[in-house]
Amino acid sequence: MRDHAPITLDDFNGLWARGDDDTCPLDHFLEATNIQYFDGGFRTRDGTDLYQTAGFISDVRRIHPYKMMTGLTLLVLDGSGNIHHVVSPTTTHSSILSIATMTDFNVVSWAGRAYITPFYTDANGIEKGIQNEFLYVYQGAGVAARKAAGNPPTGTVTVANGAAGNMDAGLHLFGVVFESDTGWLSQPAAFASFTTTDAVTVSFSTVPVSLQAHVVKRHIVATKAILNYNGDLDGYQYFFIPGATINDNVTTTLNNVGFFDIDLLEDASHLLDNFAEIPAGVGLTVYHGRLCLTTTYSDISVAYLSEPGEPEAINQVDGVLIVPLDGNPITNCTEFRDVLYLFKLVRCVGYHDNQDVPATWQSFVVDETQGCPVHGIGSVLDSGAVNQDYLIIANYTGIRLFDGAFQDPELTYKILDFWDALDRTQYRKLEIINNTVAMHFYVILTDGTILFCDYSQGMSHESVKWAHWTYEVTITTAEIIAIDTIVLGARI
Amino acid sequence: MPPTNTSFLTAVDLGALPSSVTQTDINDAGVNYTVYYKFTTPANCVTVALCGYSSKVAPGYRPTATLWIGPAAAPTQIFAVAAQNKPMQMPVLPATEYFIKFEKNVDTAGPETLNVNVLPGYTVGPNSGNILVNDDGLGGDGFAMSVLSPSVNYSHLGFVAGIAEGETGQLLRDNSSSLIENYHDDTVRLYNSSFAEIASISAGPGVNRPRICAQQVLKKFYIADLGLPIQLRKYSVTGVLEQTWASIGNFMLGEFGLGISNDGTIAYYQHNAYLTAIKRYDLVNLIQLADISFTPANGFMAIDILVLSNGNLAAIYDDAGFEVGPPFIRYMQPDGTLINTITLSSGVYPNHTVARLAYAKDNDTHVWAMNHPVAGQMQHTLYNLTTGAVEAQVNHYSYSDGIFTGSENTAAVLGASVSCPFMVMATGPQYGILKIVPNKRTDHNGSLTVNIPDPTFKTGLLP
Repeated sequence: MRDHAPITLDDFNGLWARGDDDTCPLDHFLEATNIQYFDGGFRTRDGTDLYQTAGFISDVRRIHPYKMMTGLTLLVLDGSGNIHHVVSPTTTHSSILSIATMTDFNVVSWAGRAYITPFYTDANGIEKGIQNEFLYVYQGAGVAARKAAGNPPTGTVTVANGAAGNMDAGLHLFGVVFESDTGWLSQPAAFASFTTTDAVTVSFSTVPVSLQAHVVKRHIVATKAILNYNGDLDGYQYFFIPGATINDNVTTTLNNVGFFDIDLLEDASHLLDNFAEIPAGVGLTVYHGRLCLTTTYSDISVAYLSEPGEPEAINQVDGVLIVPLDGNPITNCTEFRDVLYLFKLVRCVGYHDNQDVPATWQSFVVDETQGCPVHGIGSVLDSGAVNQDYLIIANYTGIRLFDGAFQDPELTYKILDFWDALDRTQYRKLEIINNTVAMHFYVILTDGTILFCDYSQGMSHESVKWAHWTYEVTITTAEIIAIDTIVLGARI
Repeated sequence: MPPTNTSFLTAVDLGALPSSVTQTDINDAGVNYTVYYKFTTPANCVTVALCGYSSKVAPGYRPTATLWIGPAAAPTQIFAVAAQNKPMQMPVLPATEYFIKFEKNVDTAGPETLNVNVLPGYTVGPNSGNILVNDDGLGGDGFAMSVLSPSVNYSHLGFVAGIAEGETGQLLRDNSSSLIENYHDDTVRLYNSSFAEIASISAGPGVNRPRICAQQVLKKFYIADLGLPIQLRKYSVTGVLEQTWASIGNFMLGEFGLGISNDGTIAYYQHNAYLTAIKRYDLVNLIQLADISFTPANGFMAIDILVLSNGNLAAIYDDAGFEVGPPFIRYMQPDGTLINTITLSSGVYPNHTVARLAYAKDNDTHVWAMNHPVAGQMQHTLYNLTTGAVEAQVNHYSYSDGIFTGSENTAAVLGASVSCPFMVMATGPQYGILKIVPNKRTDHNGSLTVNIPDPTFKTGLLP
């Protein structure tokens, strides 16, 4: 047309949903549905296909990565409360954990095992651990998950003099500790007192056998010699006797065990107050080698931390962190830059490890107005861990970078109206998957669609490019496997 | 020169499947040799169709194929199936080595040629509308269920291994769960829409070969004994026994039709005697009711009885053994009053197979029927019950006890078992784990490949 000045669009910088339509920059879209971006252009988004080729799972509610020693696999929750272990597209171990009331779960991989906590949403919209349910451990071979930890010994061990050998004379207390196939150690129990004789070893009989099939060893523990015994069998410090181990769950005797009190170095008393059954919670992470579990059915502002290196050893007294009570539950937890962060929906507190028991750690407030929902922290690649520079967190104010504080402005600056239109009562459905190879991240939205972000031009509110992806099915969850393959969970 | 592949140990490797080879040195100096081949099944392969044919007719050289599993030093034959000069179709394990023995039948002057081909059949997940044909179990335990295209002739889509083999089975459209007889152990097996087994149920106290009814409105399964008295049991879709009738009458149920009314109050069944109408039994008052008002001609029995959502009945009659007339579908009111008769084409009855009937995937104005008008094939037809119009028709190859039912001297083809019930996949399984595939131009919705919802963009340029 004569005298017409053409407008050239050669930049396509994604969705704009902020304010009136006439505020939309020329290089942005008022609508960007089912497209993705490349340098200088955009195209139809990538399509999907079935991930599995056998052992198909339907009605998927949640997928989490499970790192086995042999590689990365998936744990998949269906709508009937069954968790399945998808080892590969061709191999699935069905129903490794079935809890009818389980509508969500979290998992931590530890030494090739998976620790699983089942949770649900109560009538008030609060996510918490299922009542009378527990933390489970799954070992990856298809055998059903079992409750973590376990019951202590019962009965009483019998102690008598043995053959000549190392021994200090004096009143000692003895007990028995079970050990499981996952390395869990029980509370010491089956106590007995016995006055040892100098240079005479001790022999044990009626060593309790556990009815729990996962117990594979029994250890004998002992106190040092007690001068003035007050009769309190579990009021003294117990130690593991070096070498006093029965390497099965059958034998009831152990003879001629010799030791000097000075040999008793490895404390066993820290086990006394441990949970025999660890209650189910919501949040699950690892911090400084401790398993961290939050939001049980009865304590929604409490986080439990295990002993370092012992994920099933959670002390009911020393292992407790209490986030200031406000009637709201802890929704999420993660380690970042050596700090343990506990989130509520609109709150964030942090803890430093002071090298003492967790109950002595002091919290500090990170933010009193911003938090994170149960799956609102973006994982990175298929490591299940957070990126070393930042977390990507979704909350009521949008999607933000977190580097110890929530960064302004939010990444969703350009699509503020889009974000504000999400159903806040369904924020439990938000989930973020970050593919740092392609420099894309995907946000599973409350309505079962995906918010796509291309940050190949930079991770800032100005440079990210947004699009909205829709499907015939309802997308419920996502994970990354095989470095950069995005796996989607769907319900029809 | 004699051939070299004259033992399991010297078997010729067919290489990657599918494979076709022609051997021309079968005969040497007037002697035909028994020759051997081997192959390794690919991953996800659960069935193979194989053939070795000579292109000769009797009394000439017509080799007989048998299938063996290794090792070569001590192989074991797969079942007792042997196919002479024609295809055979057998269940196999993935990634496993097998041997084929082509045994000569006679010496001739020669030369002789052996045409060998092997086709792999893979595991698939059935989709909505697929035709499902399981095996009847007479050839051995382990034949997979065939998944057939409802629209493309001879398009065999794949197999589902591990499905019960028997003469009766039906599918509930609501959730595509199915109940199928297992001939081998007198049970019936309940499957979900992904054909994972949910429950194994005893066939009952009577003779085996129970009859199964999937009551579409009530969303229940019914199982009736073959013998006398006829015990009837009602099960939930999860395999929970809900009700038992120790006897639903003094007329013996044969390997024939069973239907239950939509309110669960009447059982319809074909008595095991010629010249008898479909029986009716009051399941509430526990009394025999009057028969429906149609008695078929001698030899005809109601092989399948479908109760439709409007309460009407569709029954397929066949006179296998008599073979006087073609099978026909009688669409009728619950009391037997005729609405329409649909006559199928005359069938060819290898092993006295009969025509069968199945619910259409998503409506009761149509039904699917299966019969065998051509040797070596089965035909599935979608009929409009009211008009009798053929809405769709598709042919597939057929096997009986692992042996092709067609003529000799044809290459191997994938087919379905001929003497069995069939089902039409309804809603289809709704698989829930997808993956994003770079540059893929379609989506998968858990059941089918679909288009990506319309990509749209709208710039900030205002008109």
